[in-house]
Amino acid sequence: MIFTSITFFVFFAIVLVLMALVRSAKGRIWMLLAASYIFYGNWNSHYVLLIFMYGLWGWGLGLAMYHASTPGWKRFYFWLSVVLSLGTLTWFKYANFIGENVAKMLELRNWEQVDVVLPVGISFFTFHTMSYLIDLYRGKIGPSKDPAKFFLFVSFFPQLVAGPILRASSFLPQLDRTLRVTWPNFVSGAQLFIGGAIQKSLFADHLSIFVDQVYRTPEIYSAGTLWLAVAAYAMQIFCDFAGYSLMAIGTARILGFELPENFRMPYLARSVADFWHRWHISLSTWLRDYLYIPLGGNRYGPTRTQVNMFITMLLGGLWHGASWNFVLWGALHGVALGVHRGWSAWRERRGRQDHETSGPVAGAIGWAATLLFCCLAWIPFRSPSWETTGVFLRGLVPGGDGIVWLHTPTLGILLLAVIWHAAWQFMPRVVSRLPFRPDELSTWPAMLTIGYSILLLILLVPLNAQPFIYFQF
Amino acid sequence: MSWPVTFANCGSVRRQSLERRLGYFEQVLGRGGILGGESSQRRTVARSGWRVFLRVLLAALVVLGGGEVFVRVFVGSPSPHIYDPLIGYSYQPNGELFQAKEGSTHLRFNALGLNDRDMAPRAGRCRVLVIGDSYTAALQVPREQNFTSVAERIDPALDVINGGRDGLFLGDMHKVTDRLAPAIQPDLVVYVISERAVDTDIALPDFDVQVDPRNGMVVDAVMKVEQQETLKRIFGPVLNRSALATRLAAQFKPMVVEAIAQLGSWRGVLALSGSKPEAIRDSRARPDDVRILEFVFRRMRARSPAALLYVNGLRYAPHHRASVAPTSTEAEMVARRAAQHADLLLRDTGAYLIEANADSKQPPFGFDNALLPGGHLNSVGHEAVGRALVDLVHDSIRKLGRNCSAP
Repeated sequence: MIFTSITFFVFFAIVLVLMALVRSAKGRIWMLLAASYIFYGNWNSHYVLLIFMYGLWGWGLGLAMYHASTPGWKRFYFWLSVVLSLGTLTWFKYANFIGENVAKMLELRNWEQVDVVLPVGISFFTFHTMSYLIDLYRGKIGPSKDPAKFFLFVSFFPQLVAGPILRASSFLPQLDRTLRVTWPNFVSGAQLFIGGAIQKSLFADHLSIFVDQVYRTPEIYSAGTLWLAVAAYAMQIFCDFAGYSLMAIGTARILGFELPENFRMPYLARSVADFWHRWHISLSTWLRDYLYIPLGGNRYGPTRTQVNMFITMLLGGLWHGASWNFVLWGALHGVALGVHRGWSAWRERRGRQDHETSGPVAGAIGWAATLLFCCLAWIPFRSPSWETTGVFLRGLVPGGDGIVWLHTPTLGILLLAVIWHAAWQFMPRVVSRLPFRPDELSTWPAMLTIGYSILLLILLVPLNAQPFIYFQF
Repeated sequence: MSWPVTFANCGSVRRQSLERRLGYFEQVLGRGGILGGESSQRRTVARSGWRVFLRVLLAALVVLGGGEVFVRVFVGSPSPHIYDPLIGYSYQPNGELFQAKEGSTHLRFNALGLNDRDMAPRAGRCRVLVIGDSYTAALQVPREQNFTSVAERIDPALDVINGGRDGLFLGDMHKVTDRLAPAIQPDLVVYVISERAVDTDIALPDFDVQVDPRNGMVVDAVMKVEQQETLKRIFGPVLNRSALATRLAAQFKPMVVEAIAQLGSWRGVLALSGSKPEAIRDSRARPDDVRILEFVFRRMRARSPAALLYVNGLRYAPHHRASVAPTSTEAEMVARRAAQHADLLLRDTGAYLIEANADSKQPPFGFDNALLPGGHLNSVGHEAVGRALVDLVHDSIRKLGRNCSAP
């Protein structure tokens, strides 16, 4: 059930009606839990059991850890939870990848692929559960005693399949207050949802028509077309994922929940480090808190810091999927972060400011270099294989005689994207007027903006709508 | 504040401002004076509610009006389709069409509802009626660039009439001949088919193939004609006048179909549905594709002298090289065997399209605002298919022993 389908609108309308009918706070939590399982079961009813099991061991082992009589037992329960979470994730997501590579290394010819369907969003709910258990182990939060609340934290439907990745410390307390659907939340949430739908359906889905075709056979296209595809994919994945996040945040806000911000105009970043403060923020902060810092962070000297950063990005790449292409993407970002860190340290030693804040020219150069790097790094991320990556990269060199295809809708969307980013950068006051407040709804700017947004959305959404890219992760 | 209560309070800010205004009036005119106390307060609130309602209504009209203009300028014109009990739908006679989905075209249909100029005197020319689906209808290119016009340009001794309609099924093509032949009196009817007709059309559940159980021969193969639904009857006039309504209908249709299918699956899960699932067709009882096509081709030939033009799909390689796509070749082989059995001339367009691709360095399919190299024939493709059509017509005329001379 994707957010932009009629099925979801019917489903969500029923949830809202039930929120009105069910008066007790506890009843509403149970209702949302049931709705979340139905939402997930609509994709694959068997895997509802899996998500239930995640809730069960997360809640059970959390309580066991909290009440453990000795530190040894506490450690045991903690590691058991880590093994269960990561083991399940590895089985479903990486079993074939590992098996295939081991078989290749050992030259085992009779190795056969495991017939397993990847549960949608498994990486996300695994990270939810793990963040709770790690925070609990570290003593940062208390245990969740109400199973319904914890099960809802693991399976809350707006963010279940593609994030933002929730932290128990911010979500569980929201369940302790009375859940309400209020008019201001409804107005603001609905507008966020519309904004997300525009990003996804109007921008990302139209771009995918061009991108998918070019990435299928990059060898036949001209360098100009391939460069256009590079830019188009960078915008597609941003609009797809940021659009989903915005719809998730909007849906949750209508129900009275606040989810963390996941994107902050990443293509305005002036360095790779800045990019990771703006791109998939809930993942980058998760990796920082639960991987980079436990590895030692920057506490053991510059070399170890670089290594920690590289490992973190490498695993961050692998988190996206079982493919060497994702590993390569993570490694590229790891190297780029290392270079940026080294460069910043060198400038600091010479008594200069960080280039991100050292004036418009240096800032513009930093922005352009970051944008170019990020766009090029998406090539292995998008390519189905190393071969395609190689063909694509070779094709970017001008001089070939491939098919020139300058897809008009793609050019139009990229132009709109430039205007949108420029507005964000240079006219923050205009941008900050959105979403409209409830008391502004009957003003002409609000009525026309919302009216035309909805109309354009309905009119121009491609008929062969694509599923969200991040569903596969 | 809980949900329903809060919804009732949706205009609380507006009401506060109204109350402030009322307070002002009460101060000026005196409580219970001219305004009449609480009842006047209620009247004023009601009046203000109406004002907001009217403003929202006006905004909705502005949005819809702007939407209509936007669609007419950038997307397409109102639907050119009218209900047709024979083949589901056809084009409005003398109707007009603008589309910017693939390429950008303004077209006018003739008095017969065909994408062609009005009928001209035969003047000794061979009259060829071309029937097919969207490749033939050619709504993506200007009329003078479509392959029927190209054929007329290459050989002025031909009067080629475009009888194409988008989405026309293989099993419906003979019905178009039945309808048009009395008015057009063609010397030859060319049926344009492609991989879709061979692979998809004849496998459709609505394509009803009847077999004589005694000898296994195909005795009938017809497409189930779409019934005019009440909704279409009601909204047809609106769709013919409003581009916005046409676009909205096209956008909503798949979503509604998906929602109905989803509802059906939920009903199945909840076991609420008393109806049993539709029985799966017995594939063993269905004759093979060649025999079905043979029947369809024989039926075409029985009506008037006929020939087949097969539009191949291409597979592209670097340096502007191309070859016929393997799936297209497979389907072509099936069609070719059936055509041989039915004693019908079939010409494929593969070589023409490959040559056009190499010469023009541009794929013969697709447009810069749609799929390239995919989708429908573009002007390069129509030029190539036009050449193939002329060669096919010459071969057929020779075979038929007819004589055509340029006017």
